[in-house]
Amino acid sequence: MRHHMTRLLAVLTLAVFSTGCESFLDVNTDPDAATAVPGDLLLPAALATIQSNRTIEIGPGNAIFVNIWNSNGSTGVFNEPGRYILSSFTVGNSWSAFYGTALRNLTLMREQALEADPVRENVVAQADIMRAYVFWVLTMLWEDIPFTQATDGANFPQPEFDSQETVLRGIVAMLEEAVERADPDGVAGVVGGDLLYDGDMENWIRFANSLRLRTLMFIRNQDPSVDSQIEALLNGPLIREHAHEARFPFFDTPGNENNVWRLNTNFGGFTGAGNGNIYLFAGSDLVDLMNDLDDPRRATYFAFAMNDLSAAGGGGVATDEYHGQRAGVRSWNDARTSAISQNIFRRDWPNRIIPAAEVWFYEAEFRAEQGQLGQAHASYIAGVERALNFFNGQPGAISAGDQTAYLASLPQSFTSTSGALNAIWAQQYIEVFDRAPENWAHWKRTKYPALEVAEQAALGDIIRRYSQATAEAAANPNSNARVGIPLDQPMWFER
Amino acid sequence: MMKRLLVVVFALALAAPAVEGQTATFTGTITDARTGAPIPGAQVYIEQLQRGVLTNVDGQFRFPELATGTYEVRIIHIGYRRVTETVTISAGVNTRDFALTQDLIDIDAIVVTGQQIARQAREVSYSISTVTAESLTRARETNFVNALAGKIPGVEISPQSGNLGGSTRITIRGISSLSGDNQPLFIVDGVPISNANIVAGTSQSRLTGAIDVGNRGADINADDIESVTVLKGAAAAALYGQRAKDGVILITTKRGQRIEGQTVTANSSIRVSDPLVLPSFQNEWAQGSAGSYTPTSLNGWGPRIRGQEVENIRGETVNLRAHPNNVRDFYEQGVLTINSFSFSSADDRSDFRLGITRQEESGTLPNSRQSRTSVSLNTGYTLTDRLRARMSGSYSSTDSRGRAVQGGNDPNVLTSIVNALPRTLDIADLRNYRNEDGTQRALGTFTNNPFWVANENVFTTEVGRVLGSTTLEYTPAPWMTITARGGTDFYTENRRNINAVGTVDRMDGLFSLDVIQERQLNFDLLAEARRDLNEDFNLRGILGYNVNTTEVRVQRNLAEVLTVPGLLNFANAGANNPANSSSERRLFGVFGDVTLGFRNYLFFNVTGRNDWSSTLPVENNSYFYPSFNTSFVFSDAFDLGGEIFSYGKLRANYAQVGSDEAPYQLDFRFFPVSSVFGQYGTNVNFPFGGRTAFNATATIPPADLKPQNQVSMELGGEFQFFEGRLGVDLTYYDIRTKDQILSVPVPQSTGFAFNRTNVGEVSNRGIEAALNLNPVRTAQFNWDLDINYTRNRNEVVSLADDLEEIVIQSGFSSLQIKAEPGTALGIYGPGFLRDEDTGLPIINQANGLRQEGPITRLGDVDPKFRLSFNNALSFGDFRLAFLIDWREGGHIFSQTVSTLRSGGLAEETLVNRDGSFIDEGVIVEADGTTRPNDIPVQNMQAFWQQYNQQQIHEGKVFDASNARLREVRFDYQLPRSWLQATPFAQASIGIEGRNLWLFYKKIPHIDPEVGLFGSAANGQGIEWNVLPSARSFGMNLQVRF
Repeated sequence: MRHHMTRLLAVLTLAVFSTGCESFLDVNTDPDAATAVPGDLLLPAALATIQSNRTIEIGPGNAIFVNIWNSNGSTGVFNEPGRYILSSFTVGNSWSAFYGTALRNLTLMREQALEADPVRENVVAQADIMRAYVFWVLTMLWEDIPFTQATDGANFPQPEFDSQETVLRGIVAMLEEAVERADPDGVAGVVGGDLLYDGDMENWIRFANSLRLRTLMFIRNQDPSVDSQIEALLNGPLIREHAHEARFPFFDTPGNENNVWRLNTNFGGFTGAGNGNIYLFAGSDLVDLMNDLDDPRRATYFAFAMNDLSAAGGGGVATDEYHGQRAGVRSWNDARTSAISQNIFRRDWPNRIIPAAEVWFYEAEFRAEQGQLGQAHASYIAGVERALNFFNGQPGAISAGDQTAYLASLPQSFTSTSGALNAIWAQQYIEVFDRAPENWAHWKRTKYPALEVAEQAALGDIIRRYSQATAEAAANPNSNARVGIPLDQPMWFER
Repeated sequence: MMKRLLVVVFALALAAPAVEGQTATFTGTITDARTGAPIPGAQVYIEQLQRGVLTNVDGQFRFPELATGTYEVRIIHIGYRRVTETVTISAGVNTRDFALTQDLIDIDAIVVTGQQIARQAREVSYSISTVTAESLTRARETNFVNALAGKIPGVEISPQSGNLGGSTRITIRGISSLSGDNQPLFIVDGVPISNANIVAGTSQSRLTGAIDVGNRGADINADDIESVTVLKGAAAAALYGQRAKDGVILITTKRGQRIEGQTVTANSSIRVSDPLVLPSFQNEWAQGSAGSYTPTSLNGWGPRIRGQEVENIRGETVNLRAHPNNVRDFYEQGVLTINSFSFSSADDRSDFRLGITRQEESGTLPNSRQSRTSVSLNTGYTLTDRLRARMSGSYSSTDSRGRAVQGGNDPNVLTSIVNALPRTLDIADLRNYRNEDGTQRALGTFTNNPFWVANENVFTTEVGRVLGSTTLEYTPAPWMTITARGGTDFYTENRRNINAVGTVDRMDGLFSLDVIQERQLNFDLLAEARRDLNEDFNLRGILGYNVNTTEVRVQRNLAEVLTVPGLLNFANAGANNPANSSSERRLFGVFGDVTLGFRNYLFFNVTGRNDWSSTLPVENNSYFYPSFNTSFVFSDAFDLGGEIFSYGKLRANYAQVGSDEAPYQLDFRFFPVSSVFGQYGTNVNFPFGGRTAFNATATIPPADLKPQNQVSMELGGEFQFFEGRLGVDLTYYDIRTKDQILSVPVPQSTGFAFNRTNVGEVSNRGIEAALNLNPVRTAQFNWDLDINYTRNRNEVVSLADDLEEIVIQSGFSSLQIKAEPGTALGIYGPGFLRDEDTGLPIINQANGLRQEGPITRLGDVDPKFRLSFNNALSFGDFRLAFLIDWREGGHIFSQTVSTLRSGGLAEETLVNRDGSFIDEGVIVEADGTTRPNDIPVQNMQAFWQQYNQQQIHEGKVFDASNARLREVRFDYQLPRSWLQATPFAQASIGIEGRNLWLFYKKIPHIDPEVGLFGSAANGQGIEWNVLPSARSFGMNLQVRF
């Protein structure tokens, strides 16, 4: 018995040992993750992260900063953008979405394309154009940001912050290089994962040039010497028609819808009467401007007041009146304020980056600044046309008659640069309403319209920037100099 | 309480062949010399025959068919002095009674140490504490871990909430790992088991819509536990390797005993429970703002309640009046029943115990329930005189429903809804939570009806778990034992979370199903040898080998946009977000343990272990760690034992323990994306427009990773006086955990968020003291008092170069638990802006309000000390036991208190309601000088809202000191004479209660013994809309027959 047992134990022990230590321990590969994926698969998540952030994180807040929208206290859960109070979540989530998710994946995608043999030039171009856009967003929100040393942790574990001028000029250079790389006849770039253009490099080139144009318009506020570059760009491929528009799509499919539509749906926020919602309302600066112009887009943008319309005699408003709310007022309790319409808060409302109208307005502004008022006017009209007919075939479409009448009601020529600029900027303020941070940036660049500081504002002036993200501040000593800058301090490009 | 442990193992050693010859019978009764009461379960052992029996409930023993002759008879019972007498047995019946004297010193005490090895307490060189079955089931808990509270110095037990089946965090000798998991290793009958607390909830977050799903260690049924031994330090744990770095909870289950008349036991409790602490509300002011009424506001800033006619939230005209109990009336009285039966027996060769327990509990939250059925079996058999086999195992099935959603940023967080109810709202009005058309009668546009949440959005869990072990013990020679033990722990947990169609903020409805499987396999092979080298020296050695594998698989799907309301089928969803993950860890280790004893009073022990882990880089995956231990019973060495000073022992040890990395951290990984984040619950799902996507890891994988290393040193002494009526046990320890494996935050502008690396050192130094007193001891009356004192000083010694701090856990709005070199883990967040000279708040001239200042340290996570008083009194057949538990110091952040105040609902917001108030502080003049604040606030609403503003946390952090009556049991042992006509051999009836009286606390409105983050994260000190803890009170009946 004893021998049996000893033998049994010896066999058992040997059996266990002989399975081999190294092979036994060789189980440290995650079966639920990949260790390599083609760069093409990295693009969709980067794009979706950018669009989700722009739509719901910075989205309504930026529009509220410049009184395009207003919130009736509903956003007071975490922050109060109407009074320029920021949510630390919005700040942290945005920094991390743009640097931590979008730029990481875009940079890896770029590196893989460069390492491929042959180099996938169009993939590099797509990555660089998107990277340029992300850096543009970052500098619009924070001004000085890590740029030249960003996303290169091996060489720059604690990236230095670059001035906004460096960033903006760097973006221009980055886009220029991307356009040089891009080759519509070359080896295909990312096609299936390209939510913007399905791999159409002609459109990517238009997008890159238009973004370059936009960036130069910001630089020229301080440095008119870039005018020659603008002139050159205006003669090249740009986003001039809706088919060229740079936009992130949303879809009708559940889970793929526009975030703001989802928010309203989750809370049952859509109101049957008046096609409105209970979260987001019109800002008075936008409505007043549109009322002055008798703008037909009001019926597209806004629903009538959410409260009882039958109470028109007792506090309600007549159905053809639009009212906005002054910035900073919250929890108003009257039936006058127009809600944002379900024409806008709909499942597949796209997250637009650069529409055709924006490019035409830049051209109009540039020509007006050059004193070429005739060309300026033509571009201005072309921009307004595209801003109006963008809705053709969509909910809230403006009838052809209304479009024609509106165009006819606008100045039929410009007589002065300042008059031209005011007309152009007014149209741009109306047009850029749904795009963050473009709407906020547009106001900072043009200061049009003249905004009043919000009621009970936390700042002495209109908010200009986000506060420094705490995660970056904790890990990057170079961030320290950026902490504590007053949020109403203008940015470098402002004048 | 401690140190006195019956090791039933020895019962097995009693088997021996019978002796042939003329037969006689030997019987007798064993009694307590002081009280004369019979002692059941005492061992009566005949040395020459190697044969023994246990006494029955009447203290009687009987040896039939003995050969006549002279024998050495030994009587052993825990807590009594051993008696050895020579007895001559002649033909016929021989009767001999023995009276045992209580032995408070218990010189022969045996403790179970690592790997189920029994050792003399005197040779153990580290602090070891044991809680016995009686103490664990005194006022039974569904989570037995809670029953350890206050009973062991150095062990911090932190229940996380009043949720049924909520988790309890155990911290032994402080937080050593910054990575989060500091939970000790759970061992049941020698086999490691899971004590996981896997994150749950729609957001899979411990913060957003967090649901406390409990710690899996709670699946162990308290009625099956014979004892729980806590090994606190690395020295104690060397035999278990790295997983024991945070200590070991060593559970020994009950075995069958050969006690006549104690074959079947039944133990039944019924208790009722209600919230221990609810907020103190004001009942004078209605909802609204600045004194004017708004029907839809959920606060108390409206007009004074005077019976005035107003429109309510539903548009009905009502007279305003207060409903002071509307929050209390939301909660229900919980009922707990525990019925436990055991069937046990033993003979010379075998022992058998079958236990069956059924628990049913309804909670204080409407519609919350938990039930558990446990079946356990423990049986051993002596196959030959050299081979013994044992199998023990249990199956448990636990179902729960209606756990509360806690934290924030989720529409189902119940306490935040309930506490915010206007004082004018009648809770009865909310009970009917549906409109006639079936839709929800919500609280306005943004808030769910709490009864809708409780009844429609029900979170359920189902856990089935099997754990068990098989042991073969072979004794090739009397001095040698070889043990092979294999064990498994396997459980499957299904979690289902529902947000019904029509839920505010989830209007389209959703449900998620998580299936979690964890499987652990463990095999140990041990050879133990004992040899007396000569009269003075003896040697004992152990060689061991261990293999352990742990696999966890999680599969989940979140189904959104439900087409047919109430139909929980994935195909009924507009969007499905499936996700699966898994992890596997394999370890093996070899270890040795050598003890040299000198004259049974001086012992030297050396251990060494080498582990190989699958999770570390191949070149660094092998790591060795030693320990050196010594103990010295100086009272024996110098023959000091006397009536006043009876026993003295000194002990010292030095130990290292290494530990590995989590699985799969070494590769650069790309994860398939199921959704990307969208604020306010608006995530964007993939496939998106038909595209799939991948996201590169945000954590840079480690290069050249080393095992984490813990070095500990412990000094201690045990002293007994007055023949054991006063015992003192003192321990000092110093534990340093170096090369921590941590995800160190890197600037996100590098594109990454973390770098996984070895970093930093944390030290925990502390004192543990146990004082055991027996102040009164007479024939009728006895009083035992154990006092436990714990003081731990945690310090983050260093972090990575350049790193000034690491955020260990973050709450909302810059609320953080941080590690900062030179200090203990603390709670940080923006404080009030303060004047540097006076330290007073700088008041905003414009409105008289305080302002947001920089992020500062707001409090300590750890308490200054813990002190508990454990009393056991007996008077005849009456017994009373109660435990008072005191925690002093440490802080807690309370979102609940903050919300009550900013909402004008807390009682203290009554002060100055009609008038104004000038806050203490300074005004900074234009020239930089200051003057005392003289600007009144606009109203108290403005004051309290700014004081509790979401970005300023200083006003929300409170001293967490508290003292409570944690357990009480009063019982009566029915006299035997009453039972003679019944089938019962023994019966007792008792009343019992838990968590009955919180008589000292500094935080208003809540019990500070709660937490949000569950047991598996370093997030203690943060309370965020956590369900109030419960108190319970009821009856208990125990019978044996």
